Amino acid sequence: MKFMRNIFLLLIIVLLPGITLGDEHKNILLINSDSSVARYKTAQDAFINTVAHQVFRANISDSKQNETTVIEMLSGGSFDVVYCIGAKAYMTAQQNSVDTEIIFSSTINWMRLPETDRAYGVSNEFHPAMQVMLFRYIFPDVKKVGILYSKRYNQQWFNKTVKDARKAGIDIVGQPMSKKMNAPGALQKLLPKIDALWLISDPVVISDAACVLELLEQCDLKKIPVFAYDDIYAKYGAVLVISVDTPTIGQQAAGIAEELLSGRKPDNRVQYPAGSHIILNLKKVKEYGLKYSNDALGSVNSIIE
Amino acid sequence: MKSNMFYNLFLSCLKTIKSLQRAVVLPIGLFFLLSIPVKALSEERCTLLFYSCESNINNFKMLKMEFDTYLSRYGEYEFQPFYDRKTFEKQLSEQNHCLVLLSSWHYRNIFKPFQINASLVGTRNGEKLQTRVLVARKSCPDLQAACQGLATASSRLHTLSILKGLAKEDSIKILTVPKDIDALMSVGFGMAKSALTNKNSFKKLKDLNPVLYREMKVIAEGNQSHLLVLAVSNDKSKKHKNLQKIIKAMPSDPEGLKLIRMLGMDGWQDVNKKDLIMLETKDSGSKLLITRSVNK
Repeated sequence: MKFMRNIFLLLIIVLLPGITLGDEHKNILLINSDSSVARYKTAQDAFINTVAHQVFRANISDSKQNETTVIEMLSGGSFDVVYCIGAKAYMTAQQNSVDTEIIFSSTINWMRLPETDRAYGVSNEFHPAMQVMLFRYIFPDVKKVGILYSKRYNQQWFNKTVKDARKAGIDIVGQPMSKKMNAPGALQKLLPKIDALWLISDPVVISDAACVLELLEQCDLKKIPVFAYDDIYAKYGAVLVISVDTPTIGQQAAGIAEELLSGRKPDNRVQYPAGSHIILNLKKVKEYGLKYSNDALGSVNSIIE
Repeated sequence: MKSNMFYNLFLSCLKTIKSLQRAVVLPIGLFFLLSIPVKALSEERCTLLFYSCESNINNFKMLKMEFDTYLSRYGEYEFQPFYDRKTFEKQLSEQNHCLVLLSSWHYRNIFKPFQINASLVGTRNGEKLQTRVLVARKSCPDLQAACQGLATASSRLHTLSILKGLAKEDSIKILTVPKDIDALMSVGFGMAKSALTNKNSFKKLKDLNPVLYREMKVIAEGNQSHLLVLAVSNDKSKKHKNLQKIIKAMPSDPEGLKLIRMLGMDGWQDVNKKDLIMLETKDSGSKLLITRSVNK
């Protein structure tokens, strides 16, 4: 009798954790396109620190062998969710898994990625109204913002931005471009009508580094501030750079993973980034005689003087 | 023979004494030699430690550089910001020669064990108090729903302490964002269901995007609490007092003003008795109360 009781107790001790944790024990596969890229690594760390489930990591840039292993892991279907950092990771997951839900982040223009019902993610581009609000927050006197854009890549985005900006009290003045036109020439037409130029990610507008430098130089001559989307432009004289805050992106992806693992579907299949990273070039601000909000200084991550 | 024995004994005693000298005297000497300059150095440098759990100030690299440059005008002073509470408190317990800049909530929790006293409170537009608010879209049904996706620039610990009693801890899903304005925009653009922020920031949204502002409501409101607090330890050296004076005078200097604006303030006020009671009373100003106010 005592022997049987002991066996029963032993079984409870051994099996209970498995029974109680049955629902919690879910696995996530994190595929990083290249963990030597700082922002990819940051997103990865933020994701791992936020999510409450076990995360298996794979960096597919390390070796071909790693990629093969990842493909085998994906085909095995032993993961409940796959988090992909960068486009290469997403493509690998999308092509080699059958029904696992995939979360992506840190890809430029996610709309060019092949869409599936099981794909969720965090966009690398802000909601246009969010950027407009931050422009106004820092430069309350800027009312007319110019944008060079190509109809091919950004027509829809441009139309939405015009509407959103109007709600925030800013007029967007657009100059559409085709491949035949050159950006500096198009800018010449735009400059007399605007208080600031908003440089957007458009391959037709920003064809090469020389073109960007010329745009910035023209604006500098007319003392028109340039608002940009990537930190690199700060070095070349952009007055304001608003880029996405990568740790927040990792957290958002973790939030989506938690929702999916608990059986719920997120409200939005793709979320906009929630955190911003701001660089303000005060040297240029003073040089151009621009009025900026002192209140907003607390929100600026980096000041160039 | 005997004298030889004594001589040998004397020699071996001498050797033992010499080796004892090496073993004891040398380390003691070295200890003194090394400890004197270290002590002197620690006395020379006076540090301003900074950690805020009420705002996610993440521009530490810039803050450190700017503050250090500013403070170096006046002598051997240093600004040391911290990302996490544990490291900050460890440093505070180990370092005597420092002033502390921290949130009022944090001050209330540690002023006794760390023996620090509030000296100045930060002000913004002449106000030293702020009111925490939980803001959601008007379509948000209740507080429980709001807490299922809450964006905030405050630390997780602080946020949970504010929401204690209002929602179950395991049902609260927090998204930590860099700034208050990010938290508000997250609600506006669908990345979060609610934002824990303060009245000032919410008012700012009214100027920035009145349409968005009208779509949002305050669902819970806290008591008033102080902005950042400058506290001093019991060890009041001359350098200590000088640093306090320098910090107090910052708002009257354009460079200094720019720096404290980076911390979300534009002035200082001396702590009075009323402030002290508020700062040291447990739980004052930390919890939210459900409200039904609607923005006009």
